[in-house]
Amino acid sequence: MNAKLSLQHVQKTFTDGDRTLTVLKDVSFDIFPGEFVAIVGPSGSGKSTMLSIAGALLSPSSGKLLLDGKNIADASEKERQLIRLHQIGFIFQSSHLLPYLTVKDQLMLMTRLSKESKKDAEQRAERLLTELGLRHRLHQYPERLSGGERQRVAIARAWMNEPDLILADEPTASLDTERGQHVIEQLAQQVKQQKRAAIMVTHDERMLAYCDRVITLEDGAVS
Amino acid sequence: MFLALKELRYEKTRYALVAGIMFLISFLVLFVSGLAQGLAFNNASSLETMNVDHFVLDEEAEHQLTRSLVSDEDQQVIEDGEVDATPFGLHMTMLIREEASNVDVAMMSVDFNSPIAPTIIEGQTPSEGQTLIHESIQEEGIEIGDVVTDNASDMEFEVSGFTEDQTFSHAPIMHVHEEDWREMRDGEFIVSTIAIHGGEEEAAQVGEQLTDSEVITLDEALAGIPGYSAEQGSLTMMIVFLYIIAAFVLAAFFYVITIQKLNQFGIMKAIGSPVSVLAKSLLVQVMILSAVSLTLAIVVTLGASQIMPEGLPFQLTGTMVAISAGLFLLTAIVGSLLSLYKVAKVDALEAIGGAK
Repeated sequence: MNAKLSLQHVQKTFTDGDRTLTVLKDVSFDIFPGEFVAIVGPSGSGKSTMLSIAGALLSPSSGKLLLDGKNIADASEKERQLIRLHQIGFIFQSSHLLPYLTVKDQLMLMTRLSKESKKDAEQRAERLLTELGLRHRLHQYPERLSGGERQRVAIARAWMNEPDLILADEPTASLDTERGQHVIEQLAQQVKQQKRAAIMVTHDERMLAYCDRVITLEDGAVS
Repeated sequence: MFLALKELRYEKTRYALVAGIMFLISFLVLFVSGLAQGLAFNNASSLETMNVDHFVLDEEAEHQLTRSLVSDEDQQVIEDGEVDATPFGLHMTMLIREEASNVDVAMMSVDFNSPIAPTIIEGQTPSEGQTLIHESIQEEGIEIGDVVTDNASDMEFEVSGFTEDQTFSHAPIMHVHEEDWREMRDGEFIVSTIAIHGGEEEAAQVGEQLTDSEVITLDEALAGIPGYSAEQGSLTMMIVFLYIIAAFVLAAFFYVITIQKLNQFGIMKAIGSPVSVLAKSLLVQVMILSAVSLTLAIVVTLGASQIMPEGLPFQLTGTMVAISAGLFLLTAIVGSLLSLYKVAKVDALEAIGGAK
């Protein structure tokens, strides 16, 4: 089976004044379809940078980044934008929903950006939201939702364009344990059902139970 | 459109405030423009309604019609030439009235059969000893059949009718018969100015033949009227400043709103939105707000012009409204450039608080 995402000897350095900071030294790993992988590690270990590179938000300084077998390490800004739109779904620490869109419109926005036909999209949006138990919230604005509900909308949004890869950056940070577990349970379920791949950066060890594999980063390298 | 409209709807109060300010500024722009145009017309409506683009004036008159005397030589040259032209006499004077205040008027004499003869709205063409006066003189209580006395010549005239759009230097024009004009100057017909019928070509043709006179354009003739430039200049300055203020106010408002939303723009970029969508959304919002407030301002200005008192010189032509609207939209776009720049520069990583 081919890896969905493959990082090969990825290195990332930042220049800070006249100092050069190596955040990722040499990171290699593969993620396969249907796999839900957790990334753990102390603060400053490079987790977020790694996730940003995997999510085509940052380019690696060196090394290869294969998405579906294609190297996107040197992709242009425009190419990376299209990859983010079509192939990657992001879930952030806080839901980061747009305050002026209703729950359903948050999802419809994604299909508008990818210029997809509206009719299929509406059905999919409603199905996703129903699966995540948000059927009754379709036409409400984020301000009326609870934290858990907002995060579930963010998950639905990440799924909306049917990405190959879901990237979650501490998705439970703003939720209490019970809600957090519920959200992750649903995320894991979706990954399995649809044979997608997902990476979750987390500090919360209780969430690791839902993951197939745990990768530990320490000082910019897989340990 | 999707994002722009949804956001305008959600943030009604915020955007209504912006639109409110834009409405007030554009209303003021339109109002002052109308006033400037009205004053310009009111100042020298006689020249503007003549439909003449060029005038022959004495070289030494410094573009002032009332100061000009075209030499006999030049008059003869033009008369003998092939270009159609109408000479006329013009000077400022005052009407003396018993038991009432005196009235400033401009006295003009022109062939009543010429193309630049005044339009009579009441009464008839004057014969010797009679005069036609601009309708505004009625506000002074002067009626057809009344006899008025010219201060300069001490001659008496019977009012034979009223004209429209015949003012010069904000004073009503009294048209007198050519014979009376002659009598005032010991039998000689003094020609202040000659209006040239035709375009640039004719004007140039006439210009070449003149010795003591020059050909000036309508705009130069208007600018030569004492006070005209100062009046228009200060109003123009107000209008220019209003546009600048509009640009700054818009820029400030949208900049603050954009800064507040940087996080949202960053998220949008992170989830794969192209910058063009974000920029378009911002521009659509600016355009919608401008269009709405501008439409409202035009309606209110036109409404206000209906209920304005007669005497207030206010004139707003369709062209003027179109130009103002275009300029205002342009101002709005210029005002949003700073925000557009900011949107284009948003870093998706910073917005989601990741990396580094």
